[in-house]
Amino acid sequence: MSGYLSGVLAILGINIIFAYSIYITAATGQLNLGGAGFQAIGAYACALLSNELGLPIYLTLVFSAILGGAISFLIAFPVLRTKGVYMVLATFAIAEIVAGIILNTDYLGGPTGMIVNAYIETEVVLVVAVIIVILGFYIMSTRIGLAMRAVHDDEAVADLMGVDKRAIQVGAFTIGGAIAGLSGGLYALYFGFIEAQYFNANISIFVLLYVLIGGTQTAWGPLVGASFFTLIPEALRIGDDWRFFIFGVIIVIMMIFRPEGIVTRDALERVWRQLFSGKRNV
Amino acid sequence: MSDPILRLEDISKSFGGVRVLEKVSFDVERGSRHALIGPNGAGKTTLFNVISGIHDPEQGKVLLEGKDLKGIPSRKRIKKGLSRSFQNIRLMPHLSVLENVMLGQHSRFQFLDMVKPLNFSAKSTGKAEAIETLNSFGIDLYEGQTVSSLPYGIRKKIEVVRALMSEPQLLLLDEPAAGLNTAETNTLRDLLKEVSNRGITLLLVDHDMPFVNSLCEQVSVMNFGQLIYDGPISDLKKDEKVLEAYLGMDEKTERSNA
Repeated sequence: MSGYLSGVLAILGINIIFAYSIYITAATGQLNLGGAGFQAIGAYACALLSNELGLPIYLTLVFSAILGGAISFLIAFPVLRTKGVYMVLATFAIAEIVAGIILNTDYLGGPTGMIVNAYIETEVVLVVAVIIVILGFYIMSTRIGLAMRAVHDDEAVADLMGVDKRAIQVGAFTIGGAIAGLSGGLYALYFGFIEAQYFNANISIFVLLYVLIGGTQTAWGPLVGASFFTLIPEALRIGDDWRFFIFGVIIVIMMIFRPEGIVTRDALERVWRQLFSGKRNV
Repeated sequence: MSDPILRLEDISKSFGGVRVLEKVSFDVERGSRHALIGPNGAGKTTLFNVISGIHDPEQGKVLLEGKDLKGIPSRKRIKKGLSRSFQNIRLMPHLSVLENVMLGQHSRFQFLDMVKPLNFSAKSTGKAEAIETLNSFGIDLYEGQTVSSLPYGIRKKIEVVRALMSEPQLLLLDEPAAGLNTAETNTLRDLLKEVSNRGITLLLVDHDMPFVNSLCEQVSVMNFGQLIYDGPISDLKKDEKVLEAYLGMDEKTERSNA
């Protein structure tokens, strides 16, 4: 595997994991624009545990997920009181607060960043990505997944059906935070260097775009969206000048023709019917 | 004879300065088919919302099986045997027919069954049962489709089936026949009679009087937030208050049409 290819695959793996963190929340109808904040928490947790305590790699990754999840859980209660655009702003603010804290803490390297001593290969990232994708599909294939989608569609009716919407939303936000933390840990270990400036608003916006353009209706969405957004810019490197222009045009066209995302349930259903031309219980 | 499954005692509710419900009291007998009628704005849907816990009444009590529902959140009332449908169809637009129906079973499952994949353990997750129920109501054709593409009559029917999936004791139906054509209304009536034969009590709001007449034995009439009649449907047309407030106009037109 060439260095370039393995680099692209590692970024792809991290982006896919990151996308599932936002997807799990988005599947319940909550938009999280603070992805970078949770990713930063995971990255710094992983770096510190590895540098200061010399913990083995898999343990540092587990802790970055736990810390990401724990912090998400704590802030889920105030944040989930807000809805729609207000929730987007609240989560955005949280990411800014995290970046602000890191920038102003000398122990964390402040604006100069931090070198991570431990190192992982691309394969590790890919294996974790596969596990997270399977986890995403698994959650959505259960009754919990059904309840999440119900809360997304109509909170009031889901509530009357006996769905504990608060538990579902807090749970999804927490799992999302944990997965974002994990993706941050992988980032830190793969690149060996982290700085607060990397975990900026652009990253949060991009990961939310992966999910929204991929589609929030099925677990395929984040996989397709993250792959699309990671690979298309690489493929467009040939005409470097026009790269971002073409990319922007593609996004606009997508939003016009597939406002619900690339992968929708109806589209999947149609494909399935054509392939097997039979009834299917979904 | 009196064995009410639902008892409403002096329910009052206002929105801002508007008194929507004024000391409404009546009983719904176990196993009965009870209609709640009244002109638009009489407070019927608000009363449904109070019963299902969406609104808290300012005064009065809702007693289900003799127990006061005060303080029990709307989410937990379905476990007490209360289920409902909505005036405007409120099916989940991005869920398939089958998934919508399975959502109706939600309150019957423990956490452990909720984390099993539906496709691999159809029995213990209730999926098999949901498919069977859909088949028994003759809607198996549509189970893979999302509901937004389906005809109105079918969606109404699916909403009733969804409400049944929680195995309720009392089913609240908010205008189930609204917007249906004659054939669809007849199908719905047969469906509701079958539901009633299973021992489920029906309390329904509807404006379609022939439909209500052919289905219900008991009727409560509301006008401007107050209860003006409560009794057998056969005596409804003898009641002067009702004739004046609501049915009088209808009956005259019906007679002139005949």
